[in-house]
Amino acid sequence: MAKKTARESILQEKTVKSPKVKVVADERVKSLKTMSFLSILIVVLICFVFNILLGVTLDKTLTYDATSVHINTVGTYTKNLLKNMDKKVEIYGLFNKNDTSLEWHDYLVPIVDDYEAKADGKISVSYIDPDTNPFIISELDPDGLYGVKKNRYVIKCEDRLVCIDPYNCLNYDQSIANQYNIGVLTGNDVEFYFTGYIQYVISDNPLRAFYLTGHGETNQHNSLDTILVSIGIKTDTLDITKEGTSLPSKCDLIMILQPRQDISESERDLLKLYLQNGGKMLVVNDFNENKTVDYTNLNQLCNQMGISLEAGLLHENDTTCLIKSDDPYTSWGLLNTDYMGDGYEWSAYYTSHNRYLSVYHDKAEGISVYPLLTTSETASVEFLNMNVSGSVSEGMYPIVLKGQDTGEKGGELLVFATQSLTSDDYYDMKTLNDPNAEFVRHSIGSICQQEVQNVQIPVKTIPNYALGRALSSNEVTMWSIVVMTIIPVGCLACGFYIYRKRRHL
Amino acid sequence: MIAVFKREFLSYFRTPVGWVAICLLGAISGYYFSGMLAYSMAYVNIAMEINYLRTFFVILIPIITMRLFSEEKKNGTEVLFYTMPYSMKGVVLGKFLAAFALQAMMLISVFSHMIITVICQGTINTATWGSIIGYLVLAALFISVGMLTSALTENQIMSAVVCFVIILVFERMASIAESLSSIFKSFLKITHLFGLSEGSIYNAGEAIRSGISWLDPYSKTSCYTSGVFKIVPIIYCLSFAALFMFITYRVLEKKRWSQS
Repeated sequence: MAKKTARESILQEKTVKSPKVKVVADERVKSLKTMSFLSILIVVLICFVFNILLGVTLDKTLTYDATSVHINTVGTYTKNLLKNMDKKVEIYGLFNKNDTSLEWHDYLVPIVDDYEAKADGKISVSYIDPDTNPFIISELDPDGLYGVKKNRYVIKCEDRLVCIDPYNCLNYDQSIANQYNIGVLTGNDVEFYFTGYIQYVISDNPLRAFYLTGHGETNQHNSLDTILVSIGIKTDTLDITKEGTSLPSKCDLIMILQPRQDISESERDLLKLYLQNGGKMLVVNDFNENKTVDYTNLNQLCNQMGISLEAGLLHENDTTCLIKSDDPYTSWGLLNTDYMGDGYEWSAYYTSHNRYLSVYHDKAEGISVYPLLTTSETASVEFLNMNVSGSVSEGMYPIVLKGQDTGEKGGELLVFATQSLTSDDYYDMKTLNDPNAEFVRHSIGSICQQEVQNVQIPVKTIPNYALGRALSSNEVTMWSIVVMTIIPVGCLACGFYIYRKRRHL
Repeated sequence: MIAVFKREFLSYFRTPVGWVAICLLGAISGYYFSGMLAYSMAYVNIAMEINYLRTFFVILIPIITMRLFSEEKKNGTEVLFYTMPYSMKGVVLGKFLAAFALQAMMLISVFSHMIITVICQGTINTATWGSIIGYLVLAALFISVGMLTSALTENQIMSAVVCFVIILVFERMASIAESLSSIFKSFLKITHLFGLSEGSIYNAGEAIRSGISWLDPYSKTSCYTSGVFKIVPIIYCLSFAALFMFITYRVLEKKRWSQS
């Protein structure tokens, strides 16, 4: 056997050993690869599980409402209601919760979530988009009675349901809207609406009120709906224009809001009978766009309860009672001192274009008439027909009258000579914590024998982002040049200079 | 880590990249801000401006992050990281912090707008500061994504494109969830798979939608604009940023042992 050279021996050794070395290296790489892959997998799993658990358990706890008015948090009144309620309430948001393009999204979603968080399991909130699940509308409102549709909230408890239009919960600055035709949000009544409606759906025996229709009555009564719901009265519409129509079996209140024509004789008789049998009614009739309407039948109905609607406009002469110094028809209505402290917290209420009301000269026995709200002692009346017989001297005139049958049945009629107490036009400028809303709650609550609680839910003011001082067009141009040109171009110039200096380095 | 951070952060300003990014964001935010000033009521809400700027992550983050590791690879200087006496974790963290600091510096234009707002007696409130926090945690998340894509390739353009696509997916997560949920529901309806009822199909589709939507960092952090501080979204963004950084670290570490 020929002797191997040293080089051949080394080469042979290498060829024999190299596969072995390679195997060792591969195994090490393989194990490192496995370890690396597993470690990534474990970290991914930990990351997901940790975040899911954190979201499920602590999301609500670790949420802080840092706004100055706690705009996204329910207040003490609501917390007490949620604490004491013994029924389960479901809230449905009929939209995609992630659709932040909805104008009201940020004002409703967080606070509605807070209801769920504070209710200790008694309120469940779910968001279902009718676009992806069209059946939800027919499930909630099979007969289409409640106007349930996309972009609405629904509050449900057992078989009782209400539908809320989120836009109704927002308050806009009316002066800006009128001047610039744009809506600038000033606040929201979300908590007022939701708490009021929750109160209604869990109440044991809610009353039913009806708006009479068929006489050009206003249908702008969303605010009044909410005010009534907050005292446990649910509203609906009622058409009795057809002869022979009867009133619903459960009818706790009938309201006639701003009719533009008189009621018929058959309606008058039906409503007279209703009052005789202890029914409660509210008539709202100011003296503005309806000056020329003859309300003979409606007046006869009111006469039954000792109240007369006259064709005259109240003129406030006391300048301290005027809201605008140059408008004698818009004034503060003063609460009758007999009712001070009787649940009414304010002594003056905004009124406008008040119809002249009087106590019917021939009122029946057993009928008592009380003024709840009056003008000052120096008001007068302007008649449409200046040749009206008789004269009305300067004095105190009623703005709200209550006629009461002191007999066994105890029918009651409230007449508001102004629409400022009930109309959406007024509440769009104000909030539902306004004194007028408080007056309506108490006056209607008293005739319906509903216990009225003072709902202490202040309006949630939205921060006003308008600049404190108006900028001139020159200032706007100057700032625009600074922010759009000087700052960006300055940065670019710096970059260019440095690039030029360093490009050859 | 500090050395890497200093080197990386200064490199943004020794090249036009940092200046261009600041200029770009300054111009965009300036346009939005002057729009608010010119509005008839001069209604200036800086939180909304920051919210608007978040939509530009899709462009800005790839620009900032594309060169983090790709350039090192291309120039061959990455070998320094493997031979330096400190760990790769420090390198990853240093680069991340440098990109994050640049992103925070880019808000200088927003701060200048805040000063102008205060001068003009506008409102700066908790919602404004909350939006800045939301912006920064989102930026942290997306920078870590960009860093990972940069570590995966030596082509900067490729890295930027992949990062762009991922951020775009995050941005459109809500609509993607909606579409996938609809597709899934239609698929189940057409194929009658598992013989599910309408209600069950809807629930399955909703589960998919909720599952995907859960990942959406934009909707999670939108609450800050309205002055609500949630800790969970911050933890979500930061933990996922940490996750992407860990994967980046693993990708870089792989080269150490796979080349041996």
